[in-house]
Amino acid sequence: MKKFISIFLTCFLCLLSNAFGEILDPLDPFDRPDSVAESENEDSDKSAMELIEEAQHLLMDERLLDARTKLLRALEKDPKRYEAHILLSSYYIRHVGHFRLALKYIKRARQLFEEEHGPPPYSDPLQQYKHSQVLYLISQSRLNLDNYSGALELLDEYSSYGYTSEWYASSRAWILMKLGDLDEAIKIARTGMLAGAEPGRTLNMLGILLSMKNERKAALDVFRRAVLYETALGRLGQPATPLNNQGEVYKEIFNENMAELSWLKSTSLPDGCEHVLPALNLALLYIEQTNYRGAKKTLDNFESCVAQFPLRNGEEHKALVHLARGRVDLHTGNVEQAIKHFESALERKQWFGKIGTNIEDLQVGVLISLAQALEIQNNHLKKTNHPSIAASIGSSRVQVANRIRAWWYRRRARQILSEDLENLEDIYIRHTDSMVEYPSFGYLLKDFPTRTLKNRIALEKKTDERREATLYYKGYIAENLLRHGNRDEGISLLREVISNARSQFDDALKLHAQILLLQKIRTEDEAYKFLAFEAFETARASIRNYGLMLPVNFQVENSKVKNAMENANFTLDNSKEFPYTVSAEHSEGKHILSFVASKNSPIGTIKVRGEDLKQTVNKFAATVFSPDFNDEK
Amino acid sequence: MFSNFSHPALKTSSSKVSFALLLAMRSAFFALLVALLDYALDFGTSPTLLCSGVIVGTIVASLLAFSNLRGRGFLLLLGLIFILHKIAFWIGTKIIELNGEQIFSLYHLQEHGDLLLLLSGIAAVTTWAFWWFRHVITLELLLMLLGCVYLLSGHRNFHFDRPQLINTLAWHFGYSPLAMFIIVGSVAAFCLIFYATIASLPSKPIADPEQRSVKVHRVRPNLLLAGSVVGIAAILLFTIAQQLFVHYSEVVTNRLANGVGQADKEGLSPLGFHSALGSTKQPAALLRLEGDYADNPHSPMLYLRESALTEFNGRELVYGGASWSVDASNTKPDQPFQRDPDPILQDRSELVQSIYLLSDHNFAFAVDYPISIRRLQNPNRKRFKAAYRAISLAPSASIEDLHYEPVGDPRWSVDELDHYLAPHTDPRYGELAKEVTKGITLPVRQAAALAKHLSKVAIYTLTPEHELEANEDPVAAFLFGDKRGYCVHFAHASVYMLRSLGIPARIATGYLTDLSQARDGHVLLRMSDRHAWAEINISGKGWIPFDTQPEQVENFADPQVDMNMLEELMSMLDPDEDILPNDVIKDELNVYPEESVSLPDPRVIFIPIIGTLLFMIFFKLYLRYGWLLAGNGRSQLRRSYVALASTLYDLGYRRQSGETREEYRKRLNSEVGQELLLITSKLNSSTYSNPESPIVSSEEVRGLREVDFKTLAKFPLWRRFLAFLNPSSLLVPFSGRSW
Repeated sequence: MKKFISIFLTCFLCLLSNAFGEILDPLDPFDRPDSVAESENEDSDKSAMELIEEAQHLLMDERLLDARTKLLRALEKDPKRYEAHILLSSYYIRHVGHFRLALKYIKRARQLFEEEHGPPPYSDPLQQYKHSQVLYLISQSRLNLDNYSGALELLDEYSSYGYTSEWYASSRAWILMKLGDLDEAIKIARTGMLAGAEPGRTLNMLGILLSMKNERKAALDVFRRAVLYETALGRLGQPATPLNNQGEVYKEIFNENMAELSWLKSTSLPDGCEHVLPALNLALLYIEQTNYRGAKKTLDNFESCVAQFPLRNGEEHKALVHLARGRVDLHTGNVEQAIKHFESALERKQWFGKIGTNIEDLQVGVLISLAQALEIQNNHLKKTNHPSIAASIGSSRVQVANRIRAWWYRRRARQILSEDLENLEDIYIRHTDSMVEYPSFGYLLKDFPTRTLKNRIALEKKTDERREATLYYKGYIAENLLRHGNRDEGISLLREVISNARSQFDDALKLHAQILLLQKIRTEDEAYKFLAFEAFETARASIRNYGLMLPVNFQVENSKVKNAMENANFTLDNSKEFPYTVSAEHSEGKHILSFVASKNSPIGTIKVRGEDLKQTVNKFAATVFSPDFNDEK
Repeated sequence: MFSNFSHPALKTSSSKVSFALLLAMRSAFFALLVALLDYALDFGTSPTLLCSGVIVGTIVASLLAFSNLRGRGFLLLLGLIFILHKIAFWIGTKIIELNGEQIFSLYHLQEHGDLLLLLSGIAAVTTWAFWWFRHVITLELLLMLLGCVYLLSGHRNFHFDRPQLINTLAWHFGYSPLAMFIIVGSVAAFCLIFYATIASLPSKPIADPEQRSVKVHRVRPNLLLAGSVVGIAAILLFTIAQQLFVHYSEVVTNRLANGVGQADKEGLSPLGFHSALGSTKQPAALLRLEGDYADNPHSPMLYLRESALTEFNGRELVYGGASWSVDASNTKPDQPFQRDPDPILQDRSELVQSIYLLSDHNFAFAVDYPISIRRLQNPNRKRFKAAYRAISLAPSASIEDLHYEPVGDPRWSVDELDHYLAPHTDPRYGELAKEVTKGITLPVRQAAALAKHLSKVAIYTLTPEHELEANEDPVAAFLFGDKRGYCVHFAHASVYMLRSLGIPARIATGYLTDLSQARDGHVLLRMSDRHAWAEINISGKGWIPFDTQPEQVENFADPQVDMNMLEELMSMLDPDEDILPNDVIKDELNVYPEESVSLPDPRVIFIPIIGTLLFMIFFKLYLRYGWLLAGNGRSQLRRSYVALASTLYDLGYRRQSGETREEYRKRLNSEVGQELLLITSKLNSSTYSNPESPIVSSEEVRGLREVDFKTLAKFPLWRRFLAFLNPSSLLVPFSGRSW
């Protein structure tokens, strides 16, 4: 009986241990922690403190994984060595960006520290230093986990013990900014500058805060000082960041030349491709000036720069680069490639912690772009000569699917923009977080009820005194009015936008307005022809992208060729002299189609050959309506 | 609401059961569809609201279908609701002045309302059509099948991880994607069969009077038939699913792993030549570097060798056995391995790695030349198959520094050298190699020239799909044909050409990963990272990869690593509780990211089910034993009759429409052959007599009831048990009919 009871108890205990602990296989000799390998390693006879000291040296030598392993070994030897916890936390914040784990280590360090030295305050300077370090790391971990009030709480505690540090002012100001207390943040940053805070970081922070308070002149002055300070540090300095911020402020005040200069300088510096924003900002500026070649070159340069650092995490910038590349492809008529870029941007998981923007901004940018690209693809398909009925049916199917997808993406983009991004904060023209060029926003805003949009714009205009911004707001209202059937008022506003747009800097806005106007007037009108030529000269792809027709003179006898041309984006008209002429000939079984621009035009002559007439005309239209980056000036 | 049960098509109990079952299935189907669509499209509107909307739409349309409303009226009603919704918001926009924070609130309400109306409208219209037209079920099944085929068509070419949801579920439950794919397919097929069976039974009520069947069917045969069909379908599906799993699990490992499988038998090759479906991101292992590898000559790439193919069998290179690849561990992941470093090897540094296997592996793999492999305790048995720590002697010399080194190991015997130089019988390999390396005398430079040549002229594709005879050389079709191939083709072609030049060469298999996608030294190895590459033996340096990096790429596996998954796996390797207790951050905010797919807590599903079952049981007990609670004799009489009638109802003896209690009793007695419901006359006289008349005594009622219960007890026990489980009688009180 006793035997039975003991067996029963053993089984019961086994079951209990299975229920509460990890299941170990008693018959498996390897199902035990690895002790052999550990005993073999060279660190086995070192103390925990020796290992921690070695790890510190390794961290300084950038041998990060060796340092991490040493620290973990130190903790295996002595799990209560808080110095190892502090170093591991710092490693996970600075080098890995794994803030949850960093917080875990540093909170454990705090527990152990207080167990060893008792509760604060401390009189020993070394203990004070370590304690301040612990508080700083907790606040940094919380800040990076978006727990701003928690981070501020720690900084309050930090200052309550009389600790001071050069990072304190900028860090506190950053947290206050995130909590929306701009005035207090500015006060802290300014006081910090007087009290000896680290100038580069604090000035940069102060500049950002001042620009958010619309004190842009003061912000620019502060950024200038930050750039000077960082430049003076030589190889240790990081002037690209304040330069980028300076460029953003210049862009906000519509000083595009200075913005371009800041970003060009920023991207040319050694730390210029530390993050993507300077290159992205410059590319967007070029797109707003319809300088697609410049935008493409900027992105090429950025990617070449990043390629020098093979171990840098690729996640950080790829979605944004895909978005910007897609926008260039879209405006230059390469719509299939653009769609691929946008879909890649949508799929990629971007890590936004470092560059200070958020995922909704990216989502909105990509969704607008995808919707636009799908509608543009439909316009291309509508003006394509299909070789067979099957191809025509296939094209119709694609068009229906594209329309549904575009509708859906527009709906989602509007929803995110107005629900998640603080009541359409991006409507503030040249808002720094926006990831698409501003004329494109009208495409999205047209679907809002006119009254709602007008109210929102009126609200924005109360605080926005920038004269140049007014034109954009008018453009948005015009597009919205046209969408809701208010043709006359819409057209009148569009004409105002076109006539008041600044040359070069507002080219994309002007082009967008011209396109909208062209869609509303008849091709026979003189105004149509004038606008179409101007739009074509500004951006060759625009005519085809929006399903418009380009009036051209022709030297074509064959009626089949004429029909095929008119099924593409050409209106053949010899009643007047136009700047462009198309001609067709047939020799040696091949169709040769030519496009000749007048001498004043930078486009020159384009020739396309092919055996099949329809395919040759399609290729001809695609070539005429897309810029060649290799040939153009 | 339940007055609709008086509709002629819903008179019989079998039609009511059909109606209730179909309504429940349609509601569940629409709710599931909305949840799936929300997962795929992210509606931006609360999925709970949308699911409730479609369920309400389905229920309302079902009830309206059996009301006096006709088709046009129903469509008009829907149109009216839609127009009213639009007008309300149009007026709202014109009248209500919204400013500040609320400026878009009306607009948001409209957007969510539009979607809700659209989805519930679709559910309502299709449900209405379903009840009105017999052939709608065929159309619906066709559409559902098309949907299933379209969704699951992503699995073509062995992509069992498509659509993405299957992969997510597989990861969540810890199954392989193949198993999850088969489970999802089987469950979908079973649900379709079940739905089709119930919807095509003659008892399915039809709302259209012109199409309505005049036959009255009893519920038992219908349910028996349905049960048999569904049961047979379930058995068949289970058998087929099991066979499918057995068949494909053999094929799938090789196909999904860039054509690089794990065959470990001598004389066999783990490599496939037809097509490699490496675009799958199936996780294979988590690699954790325990130290820096700053001298990595292939940076940022890292080669992890598993085995080597050295023997030429006349058609391809095959595994020659452990003795021909002594630098690999040639052990299983759960076997310990230890050896002394080869004294001849120079320019190598020790690199410690921990490897946590996420899928089954035949061989342990490690960076280059492992000298020790020790099993580690599995940190998470649900997720990892096994774990081991390897210490490797990793090469640190750059490839450029090796150009002047001689090839081969001076310690090799003639037989060994011949083994690594065994050439291909086709002279074209030698001719091409000589042509490419013309004028180059140093063997390592010759190897580099060959790699460069291949990378320039050949195209990398995962789908070369060369049509070959059984004994035809698969590499010739690549190198002397269209030059389209993947790593297996490139590695073979390189080795054949290298051997023809007298350079000892072999193919190594394992993983090739990109360290730029590592985090804190952790790398997620996927099936798409499986790789085969050529290696040459350099004197004093050992076997060195001479891989080709094709300039022309037709298609390739997406190299992007799922960082969320990597972080999830990394967190499983966090130090033990005594070093880093978990509760230290329990009060912190925003510490854990929201899950992209949150599966409902099992309690959410089971509690309502258990609750419903309990309610049904208690309700049935009340019907059967309600007389225990009755106060006076009259009340006892009524409750006793209900107890008897409900038991008979569940036994299949039901009072028909228009039948009086007395007629029912007579019919019952003739059908059963026993005197039952003796209580009827007493109940009738009590019900229709003057309320002032004397009250029936409890003793009298008990006497009658006990006689009836004794008669009922003559039914076999199993029939009485099944009758207790039969829920039919529970519906009667809600149908507006009396017992």
